Formats: sequence, C-alpha cells, structure tokens
Amino acid sequence: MTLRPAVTEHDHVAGRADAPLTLVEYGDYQCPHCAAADPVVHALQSAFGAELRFVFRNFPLTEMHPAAEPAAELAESAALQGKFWEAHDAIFAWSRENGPESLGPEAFESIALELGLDPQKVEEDVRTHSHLERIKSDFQSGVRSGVNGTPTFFINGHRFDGPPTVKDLSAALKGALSARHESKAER
Amino acid sequence: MALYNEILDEFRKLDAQLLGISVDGVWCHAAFAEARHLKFPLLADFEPKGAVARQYGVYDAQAGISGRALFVIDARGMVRWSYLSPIGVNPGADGILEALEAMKDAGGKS
Repeated sequence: MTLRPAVTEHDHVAGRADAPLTLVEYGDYQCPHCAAADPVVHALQSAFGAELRFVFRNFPLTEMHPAAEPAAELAESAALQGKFWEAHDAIFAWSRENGPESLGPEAFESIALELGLDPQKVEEDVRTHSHLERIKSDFQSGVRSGVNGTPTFFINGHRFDGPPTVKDLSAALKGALSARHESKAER
Repeated sequence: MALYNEILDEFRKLDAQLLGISVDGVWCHAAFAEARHLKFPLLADFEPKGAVARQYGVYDAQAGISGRALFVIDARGMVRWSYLSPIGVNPGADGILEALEAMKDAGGKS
C-alpha cells in the first residue's frame, strides 16, 4: 500500500522538507479515533523533532459523519488565513472535550472566534464549499493509496497497519529511520 | 463498508454494482444498513448458513463466519479479481478500483 500522489507543496505540511521521516495522516474531523490520534501526533513531533515531517490529508466519511466535511472546510478556510494547524488542533480538541457529535455551525463559529479567524469568511467558505474540490481530491488520493479507515497513517509512503499509539508509531518511525540509514550506507 | 459507501459513484462510473454479503440474517443487515446509512444492498448468506461463502472458498467453518474477501465478477459471472484480507484488516478499495479499471480498459479495446 503506497501513498500516491507523494507529498507535494499543495499539502498541509508541518516540518522540514528535507526531514528523513514523513508521516502522512488521512483523517476525518468527526472521527473519535482521529481526535484521539492528534495528541499522539504531537508527542511524535516532540520526540522526533526536525527528523519528522507531518502531513495531513482529508478523508471525511460523510455518510457516517455529517460534520466531517464542513469541519474540513473550516480548516481549509483557516489555512487561507494562515492558521491551518491551529484550526486542525482546535477541531480535534473540541471533539475530545465536547464529543464529536457536537461539531456543527455553532462549534465552528466559536472555534473561528477563538482562533481570531474572520468568522464571516469562514462561514461563507463552508456554505459555498470553496474548498470542497481540494478535500475531495485528498479523499480520492486516500482511496487510491489504500486508506482503509480513519485515521490511516503512511510512514515514508508505506501504510502503517498497527495501532495508532505513540509506542507503535514511534517504533515504526525508528524502523524507517534506520532502514534509511542502511540504504544510505549501501550507496 | 463505510469506505465503500462513500465511493459508490466511482463504482457506478466503472459500471459496477457493489454488494455486501455475510452470514448474518436479513433483520440484522437491515439494522446495520440503517445505522451506517449504507446505500448499497446487503445479502444474507444465512440459510443454509455460509452456502455462498463456501462456493467462493472463503467460509471459516470454525468461527462460523465468512472471510473478509473481495470478488470482482464480470457480466458473464466470471470472477476476474479476488482478494482475501486478514480478518482484522480492512482491505480498502484501491485493489477493486484497479481491477475494474483494467476490465474497462480491456473491454474498450476489444
């Protein structure tokens, strides 16, 4: 199961472009497992520092999670205002504190206000689906890459099938790092 | 199932009809489909239990369930692609779509 397309400059990327490790998450903002995985990702970012680049792609399961797509639209709207990761974290934090079913227009408005986003612009972006095409293209890339639920992680382009815990993801990242060092040594 | 439910349009574009099948009964399927908002048919391989799964070679007699298997069947009833996933791993949709695309490409050329 290989990630395709590979990470591009259009992706939401946290970390250095030359980092030896790239962790890609396909996630749904109304999925409780994704909300639980957000602090896991932060712990990995602290542990691996500059060695880790994190990328998030949208994978809203809209039939099961009606607020997943508008939440992704909120995050994309925030991205245009330079606050993608703030919105990303805020949506998952909201979901952990108030329950994923409480995500909706009111939650989005308070998140927008809390982050100092222009709430009218956010509301308009969500209502007119300005960013839906990008979200759908993220989703399509996930389907083609073998995403089989949310969250699905890819480490240096390969699907990670273990449980999304700090322990298991750390072990897999360390494995990818040493595999990289070995292949470099061979060259 | 949630994943496949999201990409029914893609299956349709590739002239494919998605069917789910398990050894559970009709009422169980109805409740499941309603809870998950499934928009494709679920078939009940319930009586005689697992008869269909056995014919496809994926019945797990010990557990009394069908394996987590995918089959792409063409218009003549021939199995053109199949995949058996470990029971705990959702097989995703990429393999199915690739198989359907290959069939469509081949069909277009002949």
